[in-house]
Amino acid sequence: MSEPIIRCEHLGFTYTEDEENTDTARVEIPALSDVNLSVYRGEYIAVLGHNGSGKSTLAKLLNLILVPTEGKVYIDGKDVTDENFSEDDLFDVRRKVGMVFQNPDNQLVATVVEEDVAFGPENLGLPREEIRRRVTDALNVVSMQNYANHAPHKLSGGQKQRIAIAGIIAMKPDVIIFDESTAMLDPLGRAEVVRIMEKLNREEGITVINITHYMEEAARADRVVVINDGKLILDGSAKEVFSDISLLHRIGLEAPQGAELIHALRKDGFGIAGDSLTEEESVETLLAFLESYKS
Amino acid sequence: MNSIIKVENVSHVYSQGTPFQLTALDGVSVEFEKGKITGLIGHTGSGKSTLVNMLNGLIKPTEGRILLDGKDIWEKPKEIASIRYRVGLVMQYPEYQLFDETVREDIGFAPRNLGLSKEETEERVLEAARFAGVGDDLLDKSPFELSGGQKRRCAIAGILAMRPEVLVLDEPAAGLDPRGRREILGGLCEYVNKNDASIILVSHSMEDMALYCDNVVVMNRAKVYRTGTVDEIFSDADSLVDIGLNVPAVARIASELRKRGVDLRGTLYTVDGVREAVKDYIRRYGK
Repeated sequence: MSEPIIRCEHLGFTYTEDEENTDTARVEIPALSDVNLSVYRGEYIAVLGHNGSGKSTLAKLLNLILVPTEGKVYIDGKDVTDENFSEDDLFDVRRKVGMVFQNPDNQLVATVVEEDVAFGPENLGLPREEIRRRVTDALNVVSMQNYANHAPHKLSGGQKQRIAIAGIIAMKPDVIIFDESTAMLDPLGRAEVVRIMEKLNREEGITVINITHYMEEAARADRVVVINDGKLILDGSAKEVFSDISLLHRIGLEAPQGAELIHALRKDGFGIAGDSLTEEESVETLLAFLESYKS
Repeated sequence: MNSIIKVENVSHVYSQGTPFQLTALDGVSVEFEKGKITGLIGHTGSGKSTLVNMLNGLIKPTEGRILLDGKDIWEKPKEIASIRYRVGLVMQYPEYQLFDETVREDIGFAPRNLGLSKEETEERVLEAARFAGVGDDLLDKSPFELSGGQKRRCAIAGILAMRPEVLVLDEPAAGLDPRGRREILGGLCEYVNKNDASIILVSHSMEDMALYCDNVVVMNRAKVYRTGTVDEIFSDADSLVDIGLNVPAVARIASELRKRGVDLRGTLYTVDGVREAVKDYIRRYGK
């Protein structure tokens, strides 16, 4: 396989509490330790873990909002902890690895949609025509071309997230990390954003990392990574990860409802064979099982 | 129905007489049952937030009345503040509203303003913290040191400390992991049972609605679209799908099985319900 776009080796991060609390010794809070993870170009990965598991810390390490306190991160082959890693390299990493955050209101900077999307490419110092072209293309990808002259604050949550995504696409990134980007959206907004994620991955060839609490979203990814108490504990296909439901329950997670149902019936002693990742699979699996049971 | 809140023919128009005029509620009449958890569902823009903000007098209806325990809350407009202690409103993302120096002080803000003694305030704080799942070890910390989930619980405890008769919560579990959701919603159920309080719960999560609510009110386009028990509402999945709402995933699976000739009976919208229905089916038809 080719060189991964992101490679983490024994990656760890420890938060050190602010020094304002001078009466107590500095408290060190380990958030992530010994994470080994390679992300290849074109992958669509979901990251699961309960609140406080360290998954957002991981995201912040991957585009250098945080600098590792242990181990290494290589972005497109470049060691970000290397002493020769320059400011220019940092900008390059941020351009290559874009990030969409949870709160749509926290990441829009301009008062007109197209200006907001142009913010990144303007800072790259690109020529005017190129900026214009990138903004138009990016708005097309997220199906917001008709809103180019609208005010972002009047859009719905899902539309705001799509503008935030367009702002990142306009930087022509290799990877986009979605850090619970659907958590604050209503079901329609969520569906819009998930559809865009899949389109970016399948049609634009962008590597997508989706950090989420929604198991149905994770089930759609090619690969699922589970973080618990700062450690990477599972890394496999969605099917593999959601097959060990007892383990997911122990760490405070769940599987999609169809898988939960079939897991519960298996615990009741029924030998049900077959997949249960999607609703369709669950229906077919149950039908086949009930058919075989009928007298 | 023994109702705690009765909404009588309420309408609300924003920016009336301007080009931005918007009818958010149009002749809404609905009752919320005492001692029960009522789910309020509907699309963004269906009018549910406007309705929720009316229940404790944050918005005054342009038409109609809101009755709390039989009394019009706007009867004496100057006393509307007292309604806000009786109907506690937990807004979306309440963690952004934390402000005090310690968690204890923050949760105790309302009891102190109610003029309760130090001892009573402390008792209320501890009780509220317990229901909301805020550990004792957090009480002396700054709310700003807490994790997102802990902040959320702290903000909910701040409302519970008023011991409201009615608790109105707008997406209290949004953005939390499955265990966090269960802990928060479970704690609220406990509060209802212990204090004979009532809850109105706004959520987009049909799975949570199915698990925690007794009744459901469905809003659509500024009107009440359906009301009923959770059983009645989720048994008629098609009428929810018609207005673009979802039903729990497991309800869709059960419904598809029925369409394909599997005669499932019983509660078909929770994982445990469908699990029992499948076992019942096997008992009836199995070898």
